[in-house]
Amino acid sequence: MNNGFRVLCVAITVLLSLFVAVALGNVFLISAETLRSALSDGTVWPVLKVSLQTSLLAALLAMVLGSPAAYVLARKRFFGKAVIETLLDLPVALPPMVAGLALLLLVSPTGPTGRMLAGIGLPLIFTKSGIVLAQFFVALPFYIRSVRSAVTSIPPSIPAAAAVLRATEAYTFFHVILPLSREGIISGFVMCWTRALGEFGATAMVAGCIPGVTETLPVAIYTRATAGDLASAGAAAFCLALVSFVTLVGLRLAFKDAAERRKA
Amino acid sequence: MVELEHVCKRYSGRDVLKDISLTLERGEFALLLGPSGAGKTVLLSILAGLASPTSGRVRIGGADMTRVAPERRPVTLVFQRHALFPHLTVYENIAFSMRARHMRGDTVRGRVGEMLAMTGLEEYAQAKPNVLSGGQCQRVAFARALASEAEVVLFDEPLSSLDNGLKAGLIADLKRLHRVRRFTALYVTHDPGEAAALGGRVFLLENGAATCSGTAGAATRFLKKSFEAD
Repeated sequence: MNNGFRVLCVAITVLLSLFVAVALGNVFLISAETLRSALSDGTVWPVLKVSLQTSLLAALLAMVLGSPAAYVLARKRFFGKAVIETLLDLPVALPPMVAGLALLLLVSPTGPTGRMLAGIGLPLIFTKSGIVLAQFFVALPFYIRSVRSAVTSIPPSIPAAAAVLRATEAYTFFHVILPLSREGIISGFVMCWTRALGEFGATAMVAGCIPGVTETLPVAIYTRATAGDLASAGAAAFCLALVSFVTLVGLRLAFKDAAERRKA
Repeated sequence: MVELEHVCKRYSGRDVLKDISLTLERGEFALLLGPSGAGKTVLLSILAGLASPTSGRVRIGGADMTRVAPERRPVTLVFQRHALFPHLTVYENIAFSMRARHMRGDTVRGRVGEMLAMTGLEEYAQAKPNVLSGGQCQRVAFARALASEAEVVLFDEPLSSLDNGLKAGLIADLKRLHRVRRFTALYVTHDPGEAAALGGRVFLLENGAATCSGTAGAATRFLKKSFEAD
């Protein structure tokens, strides 16, 4: 009975892996000639550049603003905490098009926020800044979840020890909490970045698809595929899939030692 | 001088501490003895500022510290399981309180060197806590607490997880450190033998109430009678 159960679990695992491999294989097994041709026509590189710039900026913003938020959610009790937790997690559950529409209504130049932003020289509709906003909105919860989990796992005696050693809360946050949450911060940043990189719906709603300006990899894949240019769409998809694959493998290798130490 | 005046603590409808009043003289090494669940750790947390009393006052050096944050009190605490910072070396752990107060590099080096020598940890200065034994970790915790130059040092059963052979050595270290540095100390234990080895005035805590104070011998006899009565 035990052997049968074990075989079943292994079979399911293999089937699921094959399902993912076969689906992605069509992206990775693009012929070298097709890839070279699509990359050399000069239309994919600007798209890659916009995607990398905006997604990294969105992830950095998530790291700067998300770290204190994750700390508060992990360590503090306050009235309304459940509401704040739900709000900050909501973008994960929200359909991206809904998120995009919400952001569009918020920063539209016809609304007060959009007019104010345009007045200070920061229009967001159909701009790279708009892409960063959309990516930040949908990817932020991934960072907060990861860091919150890391901060929660620090024993309460550690920050208590810092306090009785005359460290202010700010000093403890920067010199104790953040270093001990390093793995959560790095994996949170990577998950946030890859989510931002792959964001389509909200980005398309807020920033549109202006070639060389607001055309990201996911948007380019969609527009080129629907226009029948499968080679160019495939090249863009290859770039996106490759970046995701390399980051995930890198993350696993980076934390391999830490995982082995924990097992020991 | 450390004074607790009619301190009470209530958690979820339960009285954890009931009208505790005690006074420690400056430089005194006193013991707080009691069975598990008596409220000893809660009392230390209130003294350290990590918890607030439901009612009552905490005075240190005549100043009312009841609502003062822990980092602004002249009090430090040695935890039961040392609570060393795992990402810092022994040197950095001991230097932590000084760096937190932005003290100068040469002052930090001098004081850490002094603590390392006093606790016999010079060769472990660059080691991380995960390679140290339990006894070594507790000595680092002692050094870290003393390096903070706090007037009052609280000890929350720091030797409870160590075997008797190690305990004897660390008790001797602690008594020597107290003779040299003359800090005011309140040492919590549930072990009458440990209390007897450390010596000093003993406060007995049972079910959140202070039931007697005296010598370690008197407290041990009182405890034995309590167990027999139960």
